[in-house]
Amino acid sequence: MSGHRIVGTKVPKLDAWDKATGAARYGHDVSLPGMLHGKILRSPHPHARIKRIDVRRAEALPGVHCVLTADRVRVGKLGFLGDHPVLKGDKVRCVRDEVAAVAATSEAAAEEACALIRVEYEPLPAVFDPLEAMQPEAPRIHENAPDNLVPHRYEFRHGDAERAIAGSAHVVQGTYRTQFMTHCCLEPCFALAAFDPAGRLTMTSSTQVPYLMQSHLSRALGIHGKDVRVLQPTIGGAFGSKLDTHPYEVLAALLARHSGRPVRILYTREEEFVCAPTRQPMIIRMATGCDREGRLTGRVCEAILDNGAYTSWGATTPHIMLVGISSLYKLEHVSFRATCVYTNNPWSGAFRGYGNPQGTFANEQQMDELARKAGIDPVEFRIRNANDPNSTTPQGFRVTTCALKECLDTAATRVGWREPKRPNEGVGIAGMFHVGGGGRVYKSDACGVIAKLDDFAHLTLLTGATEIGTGSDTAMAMLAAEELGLPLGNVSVINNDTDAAPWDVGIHASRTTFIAGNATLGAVREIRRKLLPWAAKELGCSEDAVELHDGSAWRRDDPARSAPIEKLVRTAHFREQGEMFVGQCFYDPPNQFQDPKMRGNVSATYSFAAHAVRVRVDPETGKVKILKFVAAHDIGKVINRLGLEGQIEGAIAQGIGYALTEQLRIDGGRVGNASFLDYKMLNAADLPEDVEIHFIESADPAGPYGAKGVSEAGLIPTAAAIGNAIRDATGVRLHRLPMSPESVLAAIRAGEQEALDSELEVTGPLTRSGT
Amino acid sequence: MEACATHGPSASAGGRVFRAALPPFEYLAATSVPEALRLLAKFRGRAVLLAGGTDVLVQMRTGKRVPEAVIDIKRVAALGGGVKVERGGRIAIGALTTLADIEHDAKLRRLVPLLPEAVATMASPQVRNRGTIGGNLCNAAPSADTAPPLLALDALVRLHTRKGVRTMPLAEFFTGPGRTALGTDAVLGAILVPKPPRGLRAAFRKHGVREAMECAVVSVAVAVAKERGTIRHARVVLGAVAPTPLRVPAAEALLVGHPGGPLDLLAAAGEAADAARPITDVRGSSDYRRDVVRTLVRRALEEVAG
Repeated sequence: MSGHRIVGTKVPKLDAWDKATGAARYGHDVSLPGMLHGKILRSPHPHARIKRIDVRRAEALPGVHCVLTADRVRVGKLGFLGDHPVLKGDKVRCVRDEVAAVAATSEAAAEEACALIRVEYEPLPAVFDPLEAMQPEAPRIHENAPDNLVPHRYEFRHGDAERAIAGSAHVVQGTYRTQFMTHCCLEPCFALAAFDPAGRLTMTSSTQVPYLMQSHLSRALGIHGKDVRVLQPTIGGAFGSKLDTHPYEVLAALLARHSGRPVRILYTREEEFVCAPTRQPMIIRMATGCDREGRLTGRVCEAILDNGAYTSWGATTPHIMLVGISSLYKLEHVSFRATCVYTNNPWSGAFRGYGNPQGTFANEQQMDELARKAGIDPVEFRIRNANDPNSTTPQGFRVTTCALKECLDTAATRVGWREPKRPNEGVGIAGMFHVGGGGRVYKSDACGVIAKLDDFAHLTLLTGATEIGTGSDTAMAMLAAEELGLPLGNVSVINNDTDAAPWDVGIHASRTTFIAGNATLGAVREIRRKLLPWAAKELGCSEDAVELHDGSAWRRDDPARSAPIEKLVRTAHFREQGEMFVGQCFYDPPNQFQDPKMRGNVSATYSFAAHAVRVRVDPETGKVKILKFVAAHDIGKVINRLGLEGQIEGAIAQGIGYALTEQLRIDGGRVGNASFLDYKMLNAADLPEDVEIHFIESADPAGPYGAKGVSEAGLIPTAAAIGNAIRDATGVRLHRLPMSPESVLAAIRAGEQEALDSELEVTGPLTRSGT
Repeated sequence: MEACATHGPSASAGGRVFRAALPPFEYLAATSVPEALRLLAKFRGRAVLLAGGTDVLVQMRTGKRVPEAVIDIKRVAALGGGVKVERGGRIAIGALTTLADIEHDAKLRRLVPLLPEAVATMASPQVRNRGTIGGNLCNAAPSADTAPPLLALDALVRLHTRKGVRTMPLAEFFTGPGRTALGTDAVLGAILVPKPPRGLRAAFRKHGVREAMECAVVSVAVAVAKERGTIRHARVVLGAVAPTPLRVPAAEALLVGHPGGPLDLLAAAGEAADAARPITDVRGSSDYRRDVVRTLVRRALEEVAG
């Protein structure tokens, strides 16, 4: 602690009371007078031509105001490649495809109307496996993508990785497969659209990108951006799923436009499982080498991503997948290629970690194997290769602060790395590297904050930075309170209206506490600068001698002399030619947009972490029990210890689910487990009782009070750490997620899998024969 | 509890619409058994009985059940009554007894702890507060958690029909997944658990991915009574591995008359695995389930017969 009064303490989130008591107003709680209910008719086929749509019976149903099909609307396409029609007219490419939309006076009438729509389909051959989709004879999903490849390629080369590996003393190779995962937001998707008489749209949405949504809706609907206002109620979870604008949101607006009434679309839970974006499954082939001393020599990685039928942000995850592969450890030679393939599966989007959990599952298991081959303890092996502060990685990332070695050491020590293990017990560790100072994935990585201090010393922060449950509001309020010497209760954050708050690029890349925190500091420091002369005058000292804390200004050399800040504000305000205390800041971090060769310092700083786990594997059922979980995170500086612990705990829980149980079962393009009953998100009872979280404060010079981003970090290394622990416990390594009891048991029964790995070649074509 | 079955799609001619609204139905609250029976007869199979509703409402919401009428029997006193020990030691459990009441009932915990132990693994406290033992049996999911323990305890069920009251072994009650001997015109009144044999030891094992809110991938109940070191009475019952909960007489026969040494238990476990007829679904493959049956039966027997 460096003399902070608020920063670094444990503070309940600003919205904790509202959420805990049920007072919070989510999208589902919002309705407008005259509002209609929207429903979507979706394709029953994963791939089919639409021959004819007959909506007459639906339109005749009492209560129905509006039925839309592709030929009745003019609407732009969605996604950064513009390959996603909002309503499908010529053909459907997956089972969630929107064929028609209805607005009616009740949800039941809208549903009934959908059921009355007759659609004639001509089923087409479909393809669900990205490797099959790449074959020349595969069914073509998009006319302009004859090879089913998404026209957005990823290739990164630094040095000569193939040669480096060929000359290595030890090499590990393997193929890793990851699954469809879904976000399980407790609040299913909703959109509420209303036009005013002048044609201005107000969209109430749980979007993570309110200002980009203005542009998306403007383009899709053909209206000017000034005519789109986005409101955000309390958001019941996002995790990346709302980083893009999706068809249902545009459909709500179209139904509102055509019916002349406000229209709300709410997903059912089953619809949420079937129709929300997914984490993209990957097939990752990787080889890593090291020399006799255990220093990494090179790494080659090829990834194939199941893009699904349309392109959303899922297709850009190789960018962030690569950061861990290229830069977690010191590597001289790296070669990386990623290909996104269209299939008739549900399309994928952004999800906490953004490709990094998939990549880390592969590379941190390889680190473990390589350590074994080199005969070096896996922790020592990692520390030997860990990045150092003030270094530059192959992609041009400038690592400033870096406490990876301390994280590894802490996690290993606390999990009892060298302590004796009982039968069927094992320990595993994995490190993690992620952006921690924003991520310039758009041209701007900025956030605006306007701060205003009123006559009662209440500080309002107006910002576009969205709160999706990460606690970023609370962190901003704490930073502002600390800086101005106000009690935390004097600060509120308004961030739910594009008409009122200044611009922010969106909540993603673990960026908000870092970026919006810096913007907050910039804005409140302006107020501080304006306030200090008034305090100095009141206290009869120089500005340098003034301290602000506990709601008052104090004379440093005479603690008996103080003046309440609210009194200073009133003194400045209520006079002739008075002054108001408003500050503003548009903070854009010193980071770079990557060039086409995937180089550029994409983040202003980077976060590091290590997770270590102790597991017990039931050798007869394959069930994995986590006995102890230790997370050590280089977070720069703790702002809100309680919020930080919650973020890491939540990410660990999601990461354990990713590792062991969660999987959307998609067969023939259809989701087979569209319920919490069979989608195995873990509950409190499933989580380890013994969880330790350690924060290592590397005091980043770029961060607000030294803080770095952390929201995704807790998920990223979890699956690899558990995989390594399973290997330690059983002698068997799993290459596929989730590591379900059935697959663990099968692996144990099948014996060592590593023999299979050595049969795979590094540079040959990818085959399906991998493990 | 939520229906332990995979939800089917609600596809219409033009495609699929995800329904939030329950389909329209008539709601009728019966106050007596004769009234409930009269209403059942009136709707001839197009009505569903509602007690806790933790299965029925989920099934209606997902379109798996589309009844014309819902007959609420929650307030029918004759179907309640909680847990009573009759003269002679038989235990009678009213069909409307909630799972939470069973879990915490002092008499059951003392006399047949197997049942409350199994019930404690079900769903969540909230669902157990609402769901009833009669509902769990009448829903007849192959994975119903109350079934294997009750079968291992040789339970009977008391049915109310228009012709009167009759009692049948629970083993004959289940006729298929979601199907029972109740048919469309009878009401389950009570579950009767005979006084357990002297020295009975019993164990329940449930395998699933989660610790709570979980349908069994495999469940096992075993009950064994020994006399002078020899097994005189044995029950081995499996859940979630056949169209109905499954008693395995062949495994029991391998135990009775034997001391219950490791080889006896292995043989019985193998017999149970052979008897299992599991399906492959999103919860597990047939082979895996059979494999787990062998392990769980052996472990459960080790606990009670070793």
